Amino acid sequence: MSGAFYLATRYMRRHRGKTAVMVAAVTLTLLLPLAVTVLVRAYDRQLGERAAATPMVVGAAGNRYDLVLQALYFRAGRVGTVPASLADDAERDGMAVGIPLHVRYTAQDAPVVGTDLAEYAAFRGLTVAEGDWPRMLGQAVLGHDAAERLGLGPGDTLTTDQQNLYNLARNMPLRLRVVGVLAPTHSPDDRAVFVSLRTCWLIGGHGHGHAPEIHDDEALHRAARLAVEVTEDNVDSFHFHGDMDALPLSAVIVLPDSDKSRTILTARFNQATPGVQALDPPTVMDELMGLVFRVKRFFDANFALVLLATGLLLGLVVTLSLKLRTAERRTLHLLGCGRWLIVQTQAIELGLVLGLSAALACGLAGALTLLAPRWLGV
Amino acid sequence: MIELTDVRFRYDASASGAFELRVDRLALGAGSRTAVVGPSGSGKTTLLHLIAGILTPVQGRVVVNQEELGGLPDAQRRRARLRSMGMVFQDIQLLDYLSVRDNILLPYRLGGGLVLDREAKDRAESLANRVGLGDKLGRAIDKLSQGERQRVAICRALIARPELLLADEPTSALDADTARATLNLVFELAEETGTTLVVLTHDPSVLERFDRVVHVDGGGVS
Repeated sequence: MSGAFYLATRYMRRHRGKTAVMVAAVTLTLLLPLAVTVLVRAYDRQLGERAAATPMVVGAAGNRYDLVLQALYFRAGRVGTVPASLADDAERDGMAVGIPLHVRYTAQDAPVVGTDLAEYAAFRGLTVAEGDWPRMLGQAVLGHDAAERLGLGPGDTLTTDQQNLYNLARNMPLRLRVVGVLAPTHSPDDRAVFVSLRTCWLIGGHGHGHAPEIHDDEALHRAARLAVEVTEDNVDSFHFHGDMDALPLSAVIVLPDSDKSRTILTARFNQATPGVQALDPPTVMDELMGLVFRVKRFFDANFALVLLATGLLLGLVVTLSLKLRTAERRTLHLLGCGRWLIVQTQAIELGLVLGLSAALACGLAGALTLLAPRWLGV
Repeated sequence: MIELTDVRFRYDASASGAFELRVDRLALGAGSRTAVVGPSGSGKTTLLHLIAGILTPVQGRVVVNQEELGGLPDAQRRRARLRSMGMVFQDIQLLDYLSVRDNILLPYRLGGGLVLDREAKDRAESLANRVGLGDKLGRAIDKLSQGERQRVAICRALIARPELLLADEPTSALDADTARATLNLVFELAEETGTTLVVLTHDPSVLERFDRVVHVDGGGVS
C-alpha cells in the first residue's frame, strides 16, 4: 500500500462520520438524476411494450389518455362506458377480433377486470399456474402479484370493495371464489383480478339472484350480510334484466386482421359511431411519454443545479478541511515527506469519497432498475 | 558530522522586517550533544532548519555527514532527512488519525527508501516499551497525555536509527517534571544509539548536561 493511500484511508477511517456524510451527500446528488432516468426509462419501456402489443382500443369519447391507461394498465380514471354490443360491432364483417373489457371495480385494491377470459388470455398469453380458469358466475382468477399480495389461492374467497358505504340501496359487494392463479407475466395483468363479464356486471348491480324462502328470524341476518356470494346452490337464481347488448363496457380491445381492416375500423368507430373513439395505443402513449420527458428535462436542469451546488459545497468542505489540516501537512513536510505525496493523499481522499459515492449511486440505480417494474406497477 | 561555513540566510518578508542569520563557522562532532540557546526570534529554529535541509542558505555551505545539503535537490534533501535525521518539535505534531504505533512508524510511510519490515515494527515496539508506552501502541493519540505524546514523537524521531536528532524546544509544552523526564529520555536514547543531538532550549538549568552550548542572538551564532 502506498504511503499516500495508507494515510488517506487511515484519515477516512478515523473520521468515518465526516466521510460518511460526504459520501451520502454526493451519493444522493448523483442518485437523484440517475434514479429519475432509470425510472422514466423503465416506465417508458413497460408502457411502450404493452402499448405496442395492443393494436387498437375502442371506448367512449373523452380523455384518450384515461381510456388507454385504463384499458391497458387498469388504471382508475373517469372513463365513460360503451354498450357491450360494441365488441360485436368490431367483429362485424370478420375484419377483427373484439375483446370486451370492463374495468371499474376493485377487490382489496386490486383492479377487477371483466372480460372474455378465453380471448383475453389468448391475446396476452396468460396461462394458469395454479388451479383453473373460472367456469361459473362469481369465480375469479388472480394475477400472480395480486395472489401473492393478498395471500390467496384456489379455494379462497375475495370480496369486492364497497362502492358506496352510505347508500342503503347499494349493490352488495360480491364474494368472489378464487379458482386459479395466473403465471407471472411482469405486466399489469399480474396485479389484476380477472372475472367473466357477467360476474363483473353482477358486481355493478346489473344482475342479481334470489334467495330461497327464508324464516323470519333469518331474514334480518341475511339482510345484514356484508356480501353476496354465488354458490352452486344459488347460481341458477342469478339473472340479468334487460338487453344484455346494452350492458356497459369500459373498452374493447380490437385486433384487426390487417392494416386495411385497421384503417376501415378506425374510420368506422371515429366517424360513423357517435360517442365512441378508436385509439392507436402506441401513438397515445408516445404523446404521454413526450409530456413525461418534457417534465424530465426540467428535472434534469434542476439536478444540474443541485450537482453544481453540491460540488461547490464539497469544494468548500475540502478547502476548510485543508485549512484545518495545515499543521498536519507542515509536520509531514518537516519530517521529509514530499509535496507530491501530500497532494496525492488529499487527492486520494477526495477520489475515494467521489468513487465510493459514484459506486453507491450506480449500485442503487442498478437495484432500482431491477425493482422499478414492481414499484411502478404498470 | 555537521559543519556550517560562512552561512547566510535571509527572511526578506519577515513580519518583523528583514532578518538575516549569520554563521561564520560551526562544527559539531558525531555523537556530540549540543544545546542551542537564545531569545525568541533570534534564529534558533532557522539554524535547526538549515541543518535539517528544510531551508537552504543563500550563501555558504551546510555539510551534514559529508554531504553538502545546499547542493542537493529538494527530493534528496528530504530523503536525507527521512533516512538520517530525526526531528522532535515544540508543539509535538502527531497525526491524530493514526494510533501510537502508526505514528511511531510514520517515517516509513513517507518514502525516502525506508522499508517497513518486521524489524522496523519490532523496533517500534521496543522503543514504545522503552518509553513506557508498550501497552498503548494501539491507542489513539487523543487518549494520551501531553507527556506521553512527546514520548511518541521522540520514538518517531528515533525509529529509523538516525545519525542526528534535532529537537526544537521539545519540553516547552510540558510541566517541569515531565520536561525533565522527557529530556532524560532523549539523552538516554541518544546515548544508547550514539546519535548526535542538537536541542533548542530556553531552559538554562539543563545546559550543563550538554557537551556544548551554541548561542544565537540577533541573527548571529557564537
